[in-house]
Order: sequence, then structure tokens, then C-alpha cells
Amino acid sequence: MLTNNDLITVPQTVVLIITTILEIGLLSLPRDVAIYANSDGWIVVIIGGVLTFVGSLVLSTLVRRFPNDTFIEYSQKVIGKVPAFFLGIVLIIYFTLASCIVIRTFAEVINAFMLQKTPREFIIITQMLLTVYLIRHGIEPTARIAEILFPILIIPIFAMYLIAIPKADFTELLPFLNTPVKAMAMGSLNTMFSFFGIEILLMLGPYMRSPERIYWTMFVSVAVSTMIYVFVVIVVFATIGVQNTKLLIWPGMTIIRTIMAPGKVFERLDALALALWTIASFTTANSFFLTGALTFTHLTRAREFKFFITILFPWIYLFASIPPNVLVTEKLVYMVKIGSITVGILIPLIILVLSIILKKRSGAA
Amino acid sequence: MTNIFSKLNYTKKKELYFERDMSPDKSKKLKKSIKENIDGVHSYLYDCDDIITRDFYMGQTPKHQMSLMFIDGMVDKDTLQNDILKPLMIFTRQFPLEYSVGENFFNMVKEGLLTAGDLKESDNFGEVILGILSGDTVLFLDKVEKALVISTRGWEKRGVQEPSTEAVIRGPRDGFTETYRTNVALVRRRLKDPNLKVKTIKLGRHTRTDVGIMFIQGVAKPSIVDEVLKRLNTVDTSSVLESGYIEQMIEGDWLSPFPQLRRTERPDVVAASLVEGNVAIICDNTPFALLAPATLLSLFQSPEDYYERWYIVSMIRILRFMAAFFAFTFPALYIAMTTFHPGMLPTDLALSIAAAREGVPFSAVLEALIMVSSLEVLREAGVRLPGPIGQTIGIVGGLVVGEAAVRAGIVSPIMVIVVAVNAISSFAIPNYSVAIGFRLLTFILIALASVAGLYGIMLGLLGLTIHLVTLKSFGAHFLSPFVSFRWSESKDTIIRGPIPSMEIRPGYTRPEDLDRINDRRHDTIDKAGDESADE
Repeated sequence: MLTNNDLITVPQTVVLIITTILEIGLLSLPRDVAIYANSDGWIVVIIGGVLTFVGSLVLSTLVRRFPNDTFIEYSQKVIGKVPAFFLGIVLIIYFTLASCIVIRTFAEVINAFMLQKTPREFIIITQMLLTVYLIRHGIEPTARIAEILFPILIIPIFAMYLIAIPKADFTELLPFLNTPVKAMAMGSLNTMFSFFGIEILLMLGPYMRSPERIYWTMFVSVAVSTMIYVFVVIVVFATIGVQNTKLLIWPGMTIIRTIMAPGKVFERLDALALALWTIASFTTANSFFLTGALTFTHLTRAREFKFFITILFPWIYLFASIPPNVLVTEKLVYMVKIGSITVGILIPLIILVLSIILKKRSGAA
Repeated sequence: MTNIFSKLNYTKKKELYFERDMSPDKSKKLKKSIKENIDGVHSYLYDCDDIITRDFYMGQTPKHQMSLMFIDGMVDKDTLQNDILKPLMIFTRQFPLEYSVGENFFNMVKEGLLTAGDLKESDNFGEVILGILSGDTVLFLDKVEKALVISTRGWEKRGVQEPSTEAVIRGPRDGFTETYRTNVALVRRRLKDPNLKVKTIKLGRHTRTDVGIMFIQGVAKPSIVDEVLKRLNTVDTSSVLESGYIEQMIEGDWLSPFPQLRRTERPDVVAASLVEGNVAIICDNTPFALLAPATLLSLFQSPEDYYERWYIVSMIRILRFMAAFFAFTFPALYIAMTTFHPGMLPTDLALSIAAAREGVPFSAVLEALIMVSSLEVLREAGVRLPGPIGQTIGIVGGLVVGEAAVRAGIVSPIMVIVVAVNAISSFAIPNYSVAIGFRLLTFILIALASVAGLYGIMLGLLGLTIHLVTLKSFGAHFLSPFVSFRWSESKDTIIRGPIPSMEIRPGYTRPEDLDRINDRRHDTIDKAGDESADE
């Protein structure tokens, strides 16, 4: 549908998925796992990562079976046009809401930590305009941006958390393995929500240069994200303590506020962290906005997807502005996270099972 | 409807062009009679008093009539006297001419008499007139439908001098001049390679400027060469006075603040780039050659980078990139820090800034805008004024006015430091066009920082990143090799690795022949070491 040379390579896919995953989870994951598993939180993150990878196998297998189709096309082949159409609508709503909560959470964080007096709408609109400016260029430039921004994002984040380590007390990670299995399981499931973002693969299959390496791509993406998450959770736990973590809404950000840069160059690093946070949020919003517009394009069999960016723009702005405060936003975030499991794992699982039973697969597989 | 209209417009424009174009084309053939030919030339070049027509005859009798036409001041008088007039008029007097007037006689003159080095036959007015206008001498012979165009170009010109905008401490001192052939020769002298190709076209309806494309066959990617040729052929303009005209007409994105062709005054830079697979565009009448495709990294390079040792160069390059970053962010960062995030600064520094700003009537944004703008004005004034006065302006403007402004309490001393660092940083960027681009961005970032602090700066930087990532120069990514990164290319980026380690040519030009260095150095060095040890 789009131009054929708009293809992304394996490393580009990996960084696109990682930068999509790394966003909201970085802020709130330590709190979520602390609530479920106390000091075993980091183990829960690892189990969650493994579960996510297992779940992503469904997506990967679908991409292998239908390398030339997006979700819209292969669901039509498997379950027929009308049900597939409704699934497509669900997908559009999901991606729209996902962009909304990413942008809204970003605006909330900026409002809380950096620009207290700036209107939230200003932040939402500017961030969205930036996103639109990028994704109008297509999929490959979006992936290229992810490629460029990934090191700029990851290296300072690591550096900042490393600065916190001298203050850390690693006995906070004890007792070890003292959590009931049920809590562990619940926590792991909850961690999977923090990996939301892998479902963009539903739409990216045909735009990959080498779809045969999808399993490897997914493995690297999920493994790297898990490692970063585990690192963050351990540092947060060790620095501010498990019990304190439970009380904070964005513990990942709070810890950075306590750090002082060595050499007294900066008194506090939070503004710097928020600058990085702008990048993280920007890359995530890009992916969801782009996939949303792509879904729309494939659903209507249009040739040009720029038009749908314009269509989605007011809706994303509207939904992002609706929640009255940060608590409602957090509820919406939770809903979207549950939606991510549904859209990213459950629905593809049904399609996959049906396609195996009905023996449908793409001709060029 | 719009289509039809645009088509109509187009044809109308074309007709207008042909009406105005009074110069003859090649279909207009020369006549037999010498009188008619001279009158023919004069019918085009009337009212041109600098054209000189010299009628004379050859041999002892006025049987062989001929005529020379040239433009005074554009021909080399020595060649004209010694290699054309002297053989034709003096030598032929010493013995009777056996040839009768006609074709044979023409060939005898062409092949046996004229001692000028470069000449060619022509049979039409188009070539003849273009030759005269380019500084060639045209020789008409009676009863022949052909003329000889003898290359006698030679005019008052500047010699090869040290380039003033790209000075180096180590490296060759010769720079391009305003003469096309000299410039091509300067490059050719460095690359004695039969695969070095030069294609010349003429651009500009009035100027007929020689524009040459140089590339090394088998190294330069054919698609880039084709693209450059294609774009050059679309240039339909009345005048090309400098390579800047061409640059702006063939670049892909004219909204970008960054140049998409690299310009240089140095033949060694052109030679090095050609070897890396670039295409050079050399334009007559200007010492500035263009190199395509350009990348951000190549615009940050100085020729010296390859002449000095790699540790030093790597450090200088890192400093240069930091300078470039500060060149457009420093005032904006200062504004964001002081007005939006004072908590980020160490307490002592925040206090001293506050103390310095005590009594300053303007906001930090206005202060910054005043200072940055006045600095730009100073810089512009310094460029226009002759050398010694320009320096005086720099000292008076920078030191005296700055000091006075601080004393008067109009600006804070810290702002003077910020703007000075900003200005000095921008001078560390080797390419003037890029430095101007970054200076422009300073103003945009100041505006964004004054609206939304650090978030505004991030918006600006991300927008800039998007622009840079999507920008392409003749099919090559402007940000390569950072996009679609390959490890082997990382040795010549922000750092510059040792030359023996740079085994392949850069990938953005995707040259056909990737090997740059075949490192046999170790064989000889090891042997030498062994021998000296034996002694």
C-alpha cells in the first residue's frame, strides 16, 4: 500500500520496539512490582519479561505465517471480512488510546516536575505536532529516529542511575524469594503490562526487510527491555527502599530528583531527566500514532496514510485532554495496559489458532 | 484545468526565451566568402567595440586573404603574435605558396603552419561566436566554408594563492582561482588517474559559464553522478556568476538551514573527496568548488584532520562538535536555567547569577536577544571592513562596547560571557555556511527556551533531529554514517581513527570500489625493526 522501499531493517525494528516499550514502565514499574512482590520485585520483572517473550511468540508466528500482510489483511483471510473489520476498529481505538495516554502521562509529568504553570494543553499540542512532523515522513524515518535517539536515551539514563548507586543499600533487596506464588504470578502478569508496545508488530510485519528473523528480533527487544527494567527496579529499591517505593506515583522520577551530579555541575538532575523523558515519550507516541494511522490506512485500503494522521490528530488531542486529573489518567493507563494484553496477545492467539485449524497461510511464506 | 494552464504558461515562457535569445545556434553554417563571414559575425556582435578584426594576407601576394577575430583583453597577446600572426605572415613570405585558395590550403594552414597548441575546426556561427566570446581567436580563410577556432584564452587573472577561508597550519597552500581550467588542472595534478573524468557543460543564458563535473569512474557511485548531471541539466537560468547559484538550484531541500553541498576552496579537499566517491562541481569565475553528496560530518571536517596525527585530530573533532552544540544552545540553555529551572544550578552559581542580574532592567530573554543580535551585527561589520579595520571593530565592539554595556547596567556580565562563548564556538565550525545555519538556530532556540524552558529546547532539538534524519543530499543520508550505522565506518566520525585502520571508503557514497587502504605497512616496518636490531 505504501511505497515499497519504506522498509525497516532488523536493528531498526529492535530499537523501534525497545523505544516503544520503554516509557511509562520506567516511571511506574518499580511501584507496581513493589506492591505485588515487595523485595522480590526484580524477580517478578524477569518472569514478566519471559512471559512477554512467550506471548510475543504468537505475534512472531503470525508475522512468519503472513509475511506480506498486516493484521488487517490476515485477520480478513482467517475470520472473514466483517469480523475482521470490527477487529480493525478495535485496533484503531486501542492505538489511539495508547497514543493518548502516552502523551497525557508525559504532560502530567512535565507539569508536575518541570513546568508547573504551563497549560497542559500546550505541552500536549506541541508534543503531538512534533510527532506528526516526524511520522508524516513514513515508517523508515520513524525507525531511523528511534535508531538515533536510542543511545542518546539509554546511555544518560544508565549514567544517572549509576550515580545513585553509592547511596544505595542493597539489603533492601532482602528477603529473597519470600513471596507467595500467587502474588508472584499476579506481579508477573502486571509486569507484562509494562511491556506494552510489542503489539505495534501487528502492523509492521510487511514493512520488515527480513521477516524471517522476527523471533530473534523479538527476543533481543524483550531481553534488552527486561534488562533495563530490572536495573531500574533494583536501583530504585536499593536507593529509596521498597516501602517508600509503594507510596510514590512515579518512583523512577523521584529517585532522580534525589541525585546530585558529581562535581557540582548541576544541583539537581531532574530537569535533565525530564529532557530525556521527552525523548522516551516522543519515541513511544510516534510508534502508536504511526501504527494507528497505518491501521486506518490498511482498513480502508487507502494509498496515502498522511491523510489519516490528520484524521486521528483531533481525536488523540481530545482523549488526551479528557481525564480531569492524574488519578483518572492512571486508571486510563491501567485500562490501556489491559487492552495491550488483549490486542497484543489474546486476539492474535485466537487468529493464530484459527489459521492453523483452517490451514490458512500467506502464499509467499 | 490547472494542468492546462500550467502547460500554457510553460510554452509561453519557452517562446519568450527563444525570442530573447539572440545568439545563433549551430545550424547556422558559415559561408564561402570571407567578407560574408565577417559580416555574419558582426551581425550578431554589432555594437561590441571590444571585438577586433584583423585582415591580412599570406605569402608574397595578396592572394590568400584571411581574417582574425578576437576580443581585446581576453586573448593572450603572446600566443596571438608568436603562434598565429608570425607563422602566417612572416614565415610564408620566405618562399612562394604552391597551394591555391581552397580546402587544401585550409588544411595546410591548420596542420602545417599554425604553431598554436590547441585549435579546432568549426563550420557554424554558433561555435565561432561562442569561441570569440570565450577568449578564443577565430581565423577565417577566403573561399573556405570553415573557420579555425584557436585557443588563445588569456586574460588578467589572479594567481594561485593561499585560500583565505580555509587556512590550515599543515597542508598545501594552493587554492582555487577564478579560472576554470586552472582549477581543473589543480585537481588533475593531484590525481594522475585515467579514471578521473571531467565533463563540462555551459550554464546560464547570458553568462555561458563553464561548469565541470569531476568524478573518478569506478569509485563514484553512478547513480550519484547521474543525479548531479540530471539536476545540473535542469538549471535554466539567466546567469551563473558563482557556484552558489548552482548550489541553491540543485539542492534537494531549499527550506533547510543546512547546505546540502559542501563548498571548498582547496584542491586537496576536492581530490580527497573524489577518492572517497564524491562528485565535484567546478564552476568558472569562482574559487569555490562544490562537493556532492554532503553529510553533516563532512561539513565538520577540516583538511588538516587527515594530515595531523589521529589522537590530536580526534580530540579536536570532539571539541568541535561540543563547540557546535554550544554554538546554538548556549544562550537558550542559560535562559532556560535562569528563568525556568534555577533549582538545577548549584546554589552558589545561582546566587552569583542573581547578584549579577541585579539592576539589569531587561528580562534574560530580551538581554540575550540584544546581545546576540548586536554580536551578529558586529560580525557582519567586521566582514565588510578591510582587514585591519575589521579587527579594530572586533576589539571595539567586543571589548569596549561590552564592557561599557555592563558598566552601564544594561546587560549582566554573565550574559556577555554566554554570548561570547556562543560566538567563539560558532567560529570553531570549519564550514562557514554551516556555522551560519547554526547561528540562525540560536534565535529559534532562544524563542523556544523563553516559552517553555528546557522542554522548549528539547522540542527544538528533537525537531532539528527529525529534520536532519530525513534530510538527504543526492540520495545519501545527511546524517550518515549514524543512520544505518556500520561499525566499520565509525572510525572517521566524531573521532578520526588512525589512517591504516580506515580500510574502506565511507558508505554514504556507496562507492563501487570500497577498498581504501591495503595495509602492507607492517611488513616493511617489521623488517626495518629487525634489521636495526641486528646491527
